Amino acid sequence: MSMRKLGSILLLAGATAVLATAAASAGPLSGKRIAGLPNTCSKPVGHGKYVIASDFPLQGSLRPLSVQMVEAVKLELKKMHYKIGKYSVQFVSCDDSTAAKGSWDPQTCTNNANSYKSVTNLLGVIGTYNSGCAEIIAPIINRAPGGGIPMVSPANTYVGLTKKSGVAGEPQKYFPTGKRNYARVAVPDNFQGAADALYLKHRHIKRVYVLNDAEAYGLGIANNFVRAAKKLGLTVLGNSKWDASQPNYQSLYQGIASKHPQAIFLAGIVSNNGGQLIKDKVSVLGNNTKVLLLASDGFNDSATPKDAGNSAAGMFITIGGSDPNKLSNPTGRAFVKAFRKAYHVKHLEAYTAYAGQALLVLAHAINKSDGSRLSIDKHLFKQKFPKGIIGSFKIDSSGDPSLGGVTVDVVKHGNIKAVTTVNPPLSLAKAALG
Amino acid sequence: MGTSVGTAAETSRRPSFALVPRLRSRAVAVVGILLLALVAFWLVENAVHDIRQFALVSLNGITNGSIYALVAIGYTLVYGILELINFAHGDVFSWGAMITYSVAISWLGASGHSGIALFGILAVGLVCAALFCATLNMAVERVAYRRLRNAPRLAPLITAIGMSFVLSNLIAVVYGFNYVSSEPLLPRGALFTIGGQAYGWDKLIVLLITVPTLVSLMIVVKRTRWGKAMRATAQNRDAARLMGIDVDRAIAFAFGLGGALAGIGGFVYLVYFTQGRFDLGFRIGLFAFTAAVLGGIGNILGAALGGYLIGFIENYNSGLTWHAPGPSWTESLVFILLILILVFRPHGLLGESLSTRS
Repeated sequence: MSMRKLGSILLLAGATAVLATAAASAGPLSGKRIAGLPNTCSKPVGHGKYVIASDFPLQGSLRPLSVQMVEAVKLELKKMHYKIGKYSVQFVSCDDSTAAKGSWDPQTCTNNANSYKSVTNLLGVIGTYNSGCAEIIAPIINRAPGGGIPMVSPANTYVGLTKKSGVAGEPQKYFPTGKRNYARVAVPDNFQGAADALYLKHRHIKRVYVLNDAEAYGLGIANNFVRAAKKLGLTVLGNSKWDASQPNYQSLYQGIASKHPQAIFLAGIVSNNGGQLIKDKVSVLGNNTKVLLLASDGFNDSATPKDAGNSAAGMFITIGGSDPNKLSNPTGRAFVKAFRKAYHVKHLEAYTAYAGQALLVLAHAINKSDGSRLSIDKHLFKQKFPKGIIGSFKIDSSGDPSLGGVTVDVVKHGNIKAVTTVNPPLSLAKAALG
Repeated sequence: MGTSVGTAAETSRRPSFALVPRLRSRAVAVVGILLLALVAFWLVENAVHDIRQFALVSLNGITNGSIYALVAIGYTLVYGILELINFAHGDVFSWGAMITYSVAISWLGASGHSGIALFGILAVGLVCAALFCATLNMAVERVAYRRLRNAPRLAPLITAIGMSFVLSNLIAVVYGFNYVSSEPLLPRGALFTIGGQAYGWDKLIVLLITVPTLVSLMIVVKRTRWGKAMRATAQNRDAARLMGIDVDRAIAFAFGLGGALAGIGGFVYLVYFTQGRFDLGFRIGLFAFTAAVLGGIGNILGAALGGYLIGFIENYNSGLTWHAPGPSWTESLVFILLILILVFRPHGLLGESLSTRS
């Protein structure tokens, strides 16, 4: 055999091997994936006629947080032996991010939502993490044949998803059929914004500058914070956008420095170049003791100390509800213990317990329903959870939890640790709504 | 006798027809001058409003502009010699930043050193980044562009866009999609203060790396044999070949030089901003390309000038406090400026006009 022929055969064999590997890793060819769901969804676990999906950003800096949320949902389903009342369910985990963006991607959210519509035995979706993605998915799956697909988010905090926020058409535009199919267990941003402002007041801060990432969540919580801060008599020196694609923010902070702020409030998510934003804050305005740095829960992620390094030391980060690692109620403690044991982790990410709770909210509604989506949607609201993972709470008629406590964490030695809990009065939370 | 251009009567009427374009060009000039006056007024007003802030933000503009200038020159070198917009150049810059991260931070542990040891480590990082990127850019030319030299212009352009994706995805494969980050490597102590705000040593160090690099490049291009060969190839490839110049090597040299500059730019970026990611080169590459066009593509001094100009725009827009549109408008402003320059001065600020060249 000539060398040339041998070379051709080797090349052909190599190409075949590459194709075979690709085919093995590609979803639809395996025959095990759920028909209609995109490649961004995993193969199902559990067995049964019905399907429950989760929808989180599984790539980029939020991956550790998202993976724990998926595991929390699985843990609760496992406890139920993948059976909710008389319905046996399979679970799939879908990804709404792209590797290239390293965070949630609007096109992927749209594609996922359209796929969910085509799966007739999909009983519900646990997700999303990002409010911006929920804004896209909610109205699409609301129009699904057979009734809006029930959706329970453990982490969406943007107020306008469930209540009037000052933006035209909200929240009705997310429910074009007129029937709601969305609930959440995360504390809405008006509570967090109010708690952030209250915490700054407790720390004797009078002059604060706000930076937001201009996404639905970031802009929303920035506005909630500004309203609450003004109500408390704090001087808000400005509320401007940071551009995630900018290489650095030194000039931005130099402009802010001329206004002599005592604190900076960051409203947005860390994956929008948050690391550089924190580094430049310290570089221009000084460390976080000199000019206090407070960030919303989009920064409550292990990526914050990782990306910002020592500059993150001493910064405060809030999160709606309780620190999952310090849940004091028996159900919460049991969940944390079981999660740590099952997945061999010490630290639970910010929304892990909330993901478990979101599944329980959906399961409760499924259990009380007649199995149709419309019936599940109906039972999502006005539920009571006296012994929930995240404490005792109710879901109100708009789909919000009756929880208002906000935990303040601090970054210390590269870890995020709880400092205190702030309970903003309802009047302040209402003022934050505008 | 040449081709007839019309009867005497027609010729006599011509000035009246020529009046319209002349008026139009005057109107365009007036609009241009008005726009410039508006920008100048805004800058002066900001300077009067807070001169210290203005000075600090200007200094930031110089620092950022230096990095844009290094990358912009890579674009202009390649365009000057091949009339090709090498869209992969921004990604070569990204590779420079990531190689610096690997060599200086991961392997040699720059974060744990100071003084001479740190200087040595950074010097090694700089050389490695420059060499790697020079080799990478030459390889890109050899593999992707050389065979397309006589193909229609669209072919190498599309290939360049393709190479950009390949290079950035390769970074993602090696380093992942998340940021790589380090603690500050350059000393950040105050060199001097303006209105209580520090101008750090790190900014001066950036200038101490970039400005001599730019000057050295000018010398290489103007004074050395390789530079002359490059310029001759840029002027007329066939004539250069007839004069005994190895055109392929001259072009490869231009790519190598541009790649080395991108590598140095990547190094400076990483040690100054202390983080990098696979898609770093997209925005910086776009801005640097714009800088090259602003300055007059093909003109090295123009590219440097364009780089500094964009550095100023970016920082004035973010940092000035009197009626500044804010950071979310930076990209729009940069490209509005590009459009205005192309309308009022199509050959760029320092570029020769196409008619002169032809």
